[in-house]
Amino acid sequence: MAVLKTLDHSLNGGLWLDGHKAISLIQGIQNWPTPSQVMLPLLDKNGARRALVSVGERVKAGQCVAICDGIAGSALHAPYAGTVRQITTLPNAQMVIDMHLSPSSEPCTLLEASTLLQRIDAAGIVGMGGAGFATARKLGQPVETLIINAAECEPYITCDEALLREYAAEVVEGAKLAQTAVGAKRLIIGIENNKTEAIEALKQHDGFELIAVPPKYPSGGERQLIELLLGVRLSPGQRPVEQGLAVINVHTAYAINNANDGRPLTQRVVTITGSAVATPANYWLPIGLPVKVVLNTLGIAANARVRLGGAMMGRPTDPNLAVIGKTSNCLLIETPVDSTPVSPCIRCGVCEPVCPEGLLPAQMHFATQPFARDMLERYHLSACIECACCDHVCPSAIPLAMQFGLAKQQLNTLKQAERSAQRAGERHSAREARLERLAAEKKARMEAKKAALKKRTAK
Amino acid sequence: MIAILFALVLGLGLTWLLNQATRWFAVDGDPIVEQLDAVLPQTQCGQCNYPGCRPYAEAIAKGEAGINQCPPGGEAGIQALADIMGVEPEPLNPENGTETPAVVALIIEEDCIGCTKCIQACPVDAIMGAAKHMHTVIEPACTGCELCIAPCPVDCIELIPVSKRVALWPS
Repeated sequence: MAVLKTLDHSLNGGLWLDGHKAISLIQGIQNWPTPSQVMLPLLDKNGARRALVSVGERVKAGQCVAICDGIAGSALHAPYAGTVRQITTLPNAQMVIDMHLSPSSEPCTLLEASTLLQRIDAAGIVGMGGAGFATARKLGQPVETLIINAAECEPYITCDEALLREYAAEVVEGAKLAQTAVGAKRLIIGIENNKTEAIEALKQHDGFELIAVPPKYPSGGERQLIELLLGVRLSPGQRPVEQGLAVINVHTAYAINNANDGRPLTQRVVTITGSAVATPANYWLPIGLPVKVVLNTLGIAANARVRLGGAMMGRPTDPNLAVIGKTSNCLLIETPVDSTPVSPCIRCGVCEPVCPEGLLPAQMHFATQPFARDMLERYHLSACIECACCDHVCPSAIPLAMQFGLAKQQLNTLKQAERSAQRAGERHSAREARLERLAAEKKARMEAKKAALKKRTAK
Repeated sequence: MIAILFALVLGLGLTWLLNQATRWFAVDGDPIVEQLDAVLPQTQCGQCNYPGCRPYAEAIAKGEAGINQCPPGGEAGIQALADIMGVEPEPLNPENGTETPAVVALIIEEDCIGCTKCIQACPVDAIMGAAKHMHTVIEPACTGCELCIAPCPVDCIELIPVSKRVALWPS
């Protein structure tokens, strides 16, 4: 029996938001009917994948169809048996393996790997809370403390809570496996104190510390949760591993337990909710399920606005192009409403106390319009976690988090260009030095030969 | 008398100190050249009529070259050079070329005869290969300077746009 410890202090900044969570938790996790098609994306923000299958090839359920050569990416597996129809590029430049599914009685292909980390890698497990970074890589670095992030703080999302209510034993088992993999002395599960049923389910197990935090958004942000649980504030750009910490999501822990039994990551719990959904609930959706299939199956009007993710950090998505990915925790589908028109910033400053990272969103806003690199660096743009608390309180309805996201990307592109220019400069000077050295060596050789010849002729 | 002597000694002493200070705090090379070289794109393409980015930076510092001779750097590059030199930015000199999207070289491997001419032309050692063996471009190291195009006797080198980076946010 784990003992619950309740924290009474909440994080700096952030917002007390209406959760809208109860509606999607009335029913347990629902199964989704086997679709006739899945589209597995070959590109995500953590790297490009290489397809291992060819068009027309028959694929078994659980078979690996694509691998990533980069360090942060993950492998992809077929959720069901089927045939590869085409490997194509979508209008948003996303390359996908388009699979036509057909029922098959063949059992799911199991992973073949000897160590736990290899199994996690082969199962294609990534951080399922949103980062999407390869878990095998994260767990490859030894740390002192492993934190399981069950503080699902964003409004509407309930997939982790639903998973804990029904599969607490599997999650705890996965967490302990991860703890063994990183050699952590402490295992902490951080959960919000309003998830009472999930807390009760976790209390039935032991071998970890169970700490409840106040349900203030964004308590479940990696940096925020670390500060709440351990009082350690990471400096901007510092990764948890540098402080001997690792944080993994509840669903990731569940997937690790599955991978240990040889099952690859081919499905996940997704909350389908919002004003356009008749019966909001959590569903087991296969990875690669097109979002338009979800809308059709649930009979949702085609003009509904779809966000992949929650109300705060979710991204407006074109349902005709999007597919369910490993990090898709929620589909927030709402009937279209007239949005508040954006007005200019009045410098009221309400965005500043709500920023959990202690940044100055208004100042950063002026530095993004137009893009002023030195200003953005001075205001620590890269420390922005894009939690959108500033958006929520802005009386001018400025999409601040989106602007910061774009500016971060622009800044990264510039830095990348600078790094490659520097490398090119280094290669050029190395080449010049080599050519000079070779010319000097050649000259020395010629002179030595001449001298030797002179000596011989003199004899 | 004492006052004059005092002023003389003080003057001589300070002169010596100043003289020594220039030696103690001397900087190797020209710091302006370093700064200019740092903002140049390092493509080493020679479109500025100088054999590489550093020689061009040296020429700007000496006042021999204008700041508007670098097509790969483009408008942003000219602005950066103008800021360092404390002059007004001017439009790119069309005689040096035009600002074009970034490209990398690609060797069509079936057509390559292994003559090594492109390897000798590449200013950043971004082509691998040996005589009578196929050559290939190391993509991350290629600056798209186009210097390998002309020497190729079988025209097997193409320029392709730099592969698009993964967009993290829908546009």
